[in-house]
Amino acid sequence: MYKKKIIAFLAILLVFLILGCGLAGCSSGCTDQTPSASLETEQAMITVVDSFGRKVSVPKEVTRIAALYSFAGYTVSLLGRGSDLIAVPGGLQRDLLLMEIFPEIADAAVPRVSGKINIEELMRVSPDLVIIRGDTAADKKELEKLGNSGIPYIIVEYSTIEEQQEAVSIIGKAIGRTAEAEKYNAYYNKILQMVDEAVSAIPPEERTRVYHSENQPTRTIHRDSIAADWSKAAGIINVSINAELELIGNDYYCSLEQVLMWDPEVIIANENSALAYIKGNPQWSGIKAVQNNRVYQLPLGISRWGHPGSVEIPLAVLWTAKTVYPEILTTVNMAEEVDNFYRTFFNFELSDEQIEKILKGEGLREPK
Amino acid sequence: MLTTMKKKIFLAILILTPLLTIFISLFIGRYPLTVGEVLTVLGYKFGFVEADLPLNNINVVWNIRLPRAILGAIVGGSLAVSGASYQGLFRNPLVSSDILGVCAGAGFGASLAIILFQSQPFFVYLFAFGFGIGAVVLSYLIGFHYHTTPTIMLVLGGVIVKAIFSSLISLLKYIADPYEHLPSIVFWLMGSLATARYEDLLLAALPMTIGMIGLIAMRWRLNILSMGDKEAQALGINIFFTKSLAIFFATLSTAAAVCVSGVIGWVGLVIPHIGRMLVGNNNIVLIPVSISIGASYLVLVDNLARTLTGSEIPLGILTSLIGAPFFIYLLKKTKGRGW
Amino acid sequence: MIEIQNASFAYGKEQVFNNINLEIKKGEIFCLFGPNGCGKSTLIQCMLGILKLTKGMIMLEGKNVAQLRPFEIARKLSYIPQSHEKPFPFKVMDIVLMGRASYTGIFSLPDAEDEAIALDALEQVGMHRFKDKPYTQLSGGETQLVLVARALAQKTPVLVMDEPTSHLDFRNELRFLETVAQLVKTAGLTVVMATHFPNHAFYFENNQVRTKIALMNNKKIVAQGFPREVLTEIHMSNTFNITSKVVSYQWEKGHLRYIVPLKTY
Repeated sequence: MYKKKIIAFLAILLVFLILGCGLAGCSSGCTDQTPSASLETEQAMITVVDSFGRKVSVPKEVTRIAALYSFAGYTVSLLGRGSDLIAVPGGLQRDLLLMEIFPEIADAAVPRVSGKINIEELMRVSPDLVIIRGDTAADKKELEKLGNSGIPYIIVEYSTIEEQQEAVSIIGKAIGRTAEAEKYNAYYNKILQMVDEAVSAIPPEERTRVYHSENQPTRTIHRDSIAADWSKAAGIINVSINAELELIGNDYYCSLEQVLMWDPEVIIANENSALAYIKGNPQWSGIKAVQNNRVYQLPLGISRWGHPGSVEIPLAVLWTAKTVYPEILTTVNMAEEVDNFYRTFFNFELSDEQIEKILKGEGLREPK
Repeated sequence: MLTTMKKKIFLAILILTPLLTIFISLFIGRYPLTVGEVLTVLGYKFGFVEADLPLNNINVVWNIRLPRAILGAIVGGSLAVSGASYQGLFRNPLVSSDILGVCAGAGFGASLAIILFQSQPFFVYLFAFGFGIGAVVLSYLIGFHYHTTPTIMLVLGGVIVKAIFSSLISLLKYIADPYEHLPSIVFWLMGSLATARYEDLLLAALPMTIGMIGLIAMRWRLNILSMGDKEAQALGINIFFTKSLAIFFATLSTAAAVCVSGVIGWVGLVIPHIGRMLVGNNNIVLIPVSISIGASYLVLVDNLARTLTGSEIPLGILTSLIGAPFFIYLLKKTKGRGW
Repeated sequence: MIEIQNASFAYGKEQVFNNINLEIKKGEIFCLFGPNGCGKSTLIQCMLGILKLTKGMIMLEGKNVAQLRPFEIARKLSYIPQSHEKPFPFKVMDIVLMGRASYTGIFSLPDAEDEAIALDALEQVGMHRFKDKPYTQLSGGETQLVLVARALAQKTPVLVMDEPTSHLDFRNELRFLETVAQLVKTAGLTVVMATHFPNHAFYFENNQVRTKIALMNNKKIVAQGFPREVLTEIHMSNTFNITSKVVSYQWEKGHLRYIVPLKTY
């Protein structure tokens, strides 16, 4: 009898615990409810053509922006409207530098969890523009939900540098920051041109073979990704982009023996735990890059440089070319470039310590 | 009964088969090494050959293929032996190593560690192992709460615990960052030996070996437990103690196997059946045979997993793909009557 | 041999039997007889230590069963169940060898001596030809004999049987009873047997085996003694609500008694 009571008690406790977790999870997103602008005046509308060629009518003056995808969040911030983000992907709230520049992001709602939009949560924060990406748009149910909500949404999608620049322009137009978008794209192209001029001096047979580890040691770059495109721009031979890779979830993996066969001269990794693993694991010790101590960590600013959703890809291209080929671009000082980039686009002055942290790729992203 | 000579030959086959498959797997892989090169590395490592070998050759053979094959063998043996033991214990040839929820528990533990500790291997092991054992303990407490028909209550306990942990895994998948953690969780849940290193071996081999040796030692008791609680007690067995001990050993080996290699399905179900077909149902013979076949089977399947494509096919997928049709074949062959 | 003193058993609040007193002497067949659900099987399981009495005690050679460990009981009492599920097709020999469990440690295997004992037990019941056959292929009667062999391999002074013939055909039932009678007469074993059939008790008595019977009904012992004393028309009438006739017949071995059921009311 007594035992039964204990078990019943434990069962109830478990139920409450689960409920409690649910409520706690909600309360972090449910606080400071802002009443929507109820005095809805007739607003001027503009038409934006998104990456899918859809013509979307959006208010000329958007004030409440929902970015349901990290690139959108970064770009809105880059174009100077980070404080108007009222919904962001959860990952953004772990980018410490971004949060320092735009503390408002900490209070933004996170209506898209695990690939699904919580439409009521999204409507609660009453955005007047939603930015989603291609894979969300591929899900008819998600689109239907968004359509029913009546909130205008634009889709941005890219797998090349050119398409990414277009995406920046689309977002720029939608949020009234066309000039800033053009300024960014001009900067982007200037860096690309500078790197291209420098690396074109290196004959094709002397180009360096680089393995790029993405988050995990054997997770790597597929040919149809922007990372494949920007590694071309950096003048390196990315060993994985012509290989057969294993698709798991949304990511591509290769096998360890495959890496050994590639025997890359340089390894770049965007995650310090992967970097430590590669450097410290005897299985990797025979690889040229490890033997010659040429395993580098990609820098990390407001986002991981060179990551698919990153707006710091021009910096990644510059850094990679300079790191892989130390003999070129000798006049470029990375610290100055970093300082300049964040000052120009984020109007933010980095401390020397922060610049160093960015270049080391440490400490600016909070572990989950 | 077998004569002593026959027994010795039989034992030799049991031990040599997995060793042979491990040896063969040293020659299989994407990295192009000739038979001679592999043998040179082995000769060098065992001190027969003095040579200046490419470090990558040594690493491929000695640091990548060998630990992986050894780990595969131990994991395969562990899963098979715990499956065979549970089948005897629950008097049902259709139960598998995860009947008491060890895989679901370990899966939850691993997913939790992937999210909490950024996939740091040590925490993933620790959590997988801890929660795997925790799940079994929970099933066990539910099962032994009522004393009347413990076996069926244990099975029910397992069902409940599995359901709880499966939904908790789904919850974690839901919470997980889709671009950082979710792929790791999915990859882990599908099972792989890809990350096998000697450190992993050391960490996991001890509990697996203890579990296997324990089950080998008490294998005759498993025969008696399969007579059912009443008869087994009347035959002089302390049911509670013996069952607990068997579950303890089986859990130790399964939890450790799952925590280094992820969830590899079907081995614990199919291998004991191949054993039953070959040598009958007497656990005195079946238990060692299951270990031997399980070890060889997983090493072979892993060889397939790492050679079929440029990358790794998760093992769990292959074992199910191979195991399920094979099981249908077995059922058809015996017309469902058992062996 | 076995003394049952003031024994009561209940599942929760549901009383199964109450205040039972019995004494089973060495070398006799003791039949527990009564209608379905009268508590015979429960009493047998209490004797074997599988269930625990709620009140009273069962003394086995002067020791309280409740305080004995399973292997100690198993060296005194062996058990032949009413029905036996066959989860795995073990060989006949594997099954009989299990009778040696109480003499073997948890981490050991049966040795050559155990095998010899098991083989001997199989011979005693005439089943040694089947020793390498999967026991799932045996008939009900053969299975029951294998279980007797397993009990014999246990080398216990007492064999406890719970309705052992309920799944046997006419010939196999007789063969089983013959085997049991033979074992008691030649090996000096004691048998406790729960049964539905009063004529089992008469069969043993007719064959000059020392036989006792206890009639169980309404959670208690209604009568106990020799079959000829207990199995009377009045007892049958009170216990089963039937009209029956005890017939007796003189033959070369002596007095032959059987009970013939006539009609229910």
